[in-house]
Amino acid sequence: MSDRRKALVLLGSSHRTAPLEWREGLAVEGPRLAVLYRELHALDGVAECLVLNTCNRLEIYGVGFGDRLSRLIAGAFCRFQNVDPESLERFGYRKMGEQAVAHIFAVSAGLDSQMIGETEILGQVKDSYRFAVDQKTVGRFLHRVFQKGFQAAKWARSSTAIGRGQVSIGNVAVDLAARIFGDLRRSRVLVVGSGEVGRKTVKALVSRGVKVISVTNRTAAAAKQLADEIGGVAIPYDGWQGSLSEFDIAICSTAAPQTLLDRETVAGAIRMRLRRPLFLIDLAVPRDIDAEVAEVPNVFLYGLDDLAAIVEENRCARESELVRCRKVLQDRAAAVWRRLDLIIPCPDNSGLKG
Amino acid sequence: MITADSRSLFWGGCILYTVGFIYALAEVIRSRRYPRSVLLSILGAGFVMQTAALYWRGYSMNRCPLGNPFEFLQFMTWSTMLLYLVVGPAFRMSLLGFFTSGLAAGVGLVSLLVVSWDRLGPRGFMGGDPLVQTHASTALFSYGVFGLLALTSAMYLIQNFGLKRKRHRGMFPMLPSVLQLDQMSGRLLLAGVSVLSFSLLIGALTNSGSSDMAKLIKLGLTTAVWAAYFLLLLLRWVNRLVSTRFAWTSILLFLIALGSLWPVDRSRLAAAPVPSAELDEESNE
Repeated sequence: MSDRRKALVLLGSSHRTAPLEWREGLAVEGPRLAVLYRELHALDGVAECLVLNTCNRLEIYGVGFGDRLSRLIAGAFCRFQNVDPESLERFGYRKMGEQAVAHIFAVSAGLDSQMIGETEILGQVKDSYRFAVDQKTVGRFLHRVFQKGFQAAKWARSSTAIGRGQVSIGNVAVDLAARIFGDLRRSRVLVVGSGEVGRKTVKALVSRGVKVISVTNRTAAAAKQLADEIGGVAIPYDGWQGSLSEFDIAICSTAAPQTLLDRETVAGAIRMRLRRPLFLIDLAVPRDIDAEVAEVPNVFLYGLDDLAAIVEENRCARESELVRCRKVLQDRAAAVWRRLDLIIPCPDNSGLKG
Repeated sequence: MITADSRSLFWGGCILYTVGFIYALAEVIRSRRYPRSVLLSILGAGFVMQTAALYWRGYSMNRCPLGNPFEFLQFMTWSTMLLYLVVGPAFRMSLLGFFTSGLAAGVGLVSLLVVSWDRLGPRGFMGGDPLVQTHASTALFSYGVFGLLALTSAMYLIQNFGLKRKRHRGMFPMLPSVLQLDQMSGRLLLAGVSVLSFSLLIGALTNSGSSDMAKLIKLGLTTAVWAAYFLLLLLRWVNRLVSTRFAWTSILLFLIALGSLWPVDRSRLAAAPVPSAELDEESNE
């Protein structure tokens, strides 16, 4: 190698730089990923490498020596995945050194995600890191960068509002349900209708431990289908209002042109509930539940607009934290990079191939 | 001076409660959950100090430290804090420590700042009768339970308000759920009524030595408080008083119960004034 300076290089493409149809061609699945690792690690001058492969991004982190490192990795990847190098240049990005460290910090903290502040990405980064460790392609350098990245993500989550407040209708509804009932595992849910938002909402509830779900629909087959999908039971549509008192949470998302629940019906149900509150979620347009129902004590009524307003407010709050968060993570990345300057082994005894 | 020493300890306890409250408040304002262990440690230290103060006061006066409004309030907040320290970690109700420290600090500060409430009482007051002292202390302890009930009711009202008015930032998401708060309130009400019933039962078996009029006023007011809480329990049991109306009534009843301590104290004082010689003796210690 002509140049023996250390280098950390990141090559990648994400939802921010490339259209979905092109990104689909980048995905490396299953056993091929291990093969890619082997090919990258076998490259002359590549000491360490890690591939972050999620539905929204593919990134390759490489550590080695020489200013041709990024071109080396890009070439190997394009050959492996049969990708046009010019397209990769056009739809991808390349970051070096401190900027690459700052990037992985931002990615781990969810700052670069489609849904800002989401936490799933951190799990994906950790999985990728573990996989790379298994492949024995991670050394002191990447180990330090990623461990510091996990710490940075933890800091962002606990010390800023970047992940505070839910940004999907379903999760907002789940949070509200938790404020009403606490532990949701014993909550009974009634789903009226099979609207898409209602479906997502009940799935969010299931993900938080709800087990008893009843589904009703004007069309029995549709009720049965949704019930099977979410692990619930279908109940007859006729007279479902009479059984309202048996449920803690009712999600209405029908296409009915008139309201299905009025104040008297709900007041009657709440009297039979022995002090237990009732959470009504009206996701239908036009509304399934009369707005006056909200005045009944111990009944909490939220409509689509209410939930959407909370989602929007939370999203704005997260975005307002973005600048501050990026700044702090950039500073942390600079500090980590300075430390890496000190710990990086000398080229002569680095153990690098070639 | 013994009294001054115990007041220093009361001040120490109160300052720690205030520190705990301010610490929790600062975290709540920043929409952050405070580490429960930190607040428990601060309040625990305050509680130890307040316990020592009450013990010191009782030891030096040779009686249960329930001889004046200051001591009533200190004993009551001590009971509330004791209950929180027992109930809080077990039920893991977030922000209960914040509210409890607020009550303990607020009531403690007022009682310490109004010096006239802490007048010297007679030594060996209550005739040294353990039954009378048990009656008085359990009655005050039940007021402490009702104090915690008022706090959980206030938390219920805040959470209910937030949910009804679609407020989802600030302290609202940090509060326990309305269901948890309601269940906790029910348990506290049952516990408070049970303790007060026990206290009244003990009281009925004793003769406190007070004049008939003082006894009558005390008995009448305590029984009225007991009857009001018992009625609240019954109405809750049959679902006639639930949700926000139950919470408001719990708070109102606690304020009334608290206010009833003054007529009791006045009547007792009028019936059994502190002998001046005894007062001189106290002052010289």
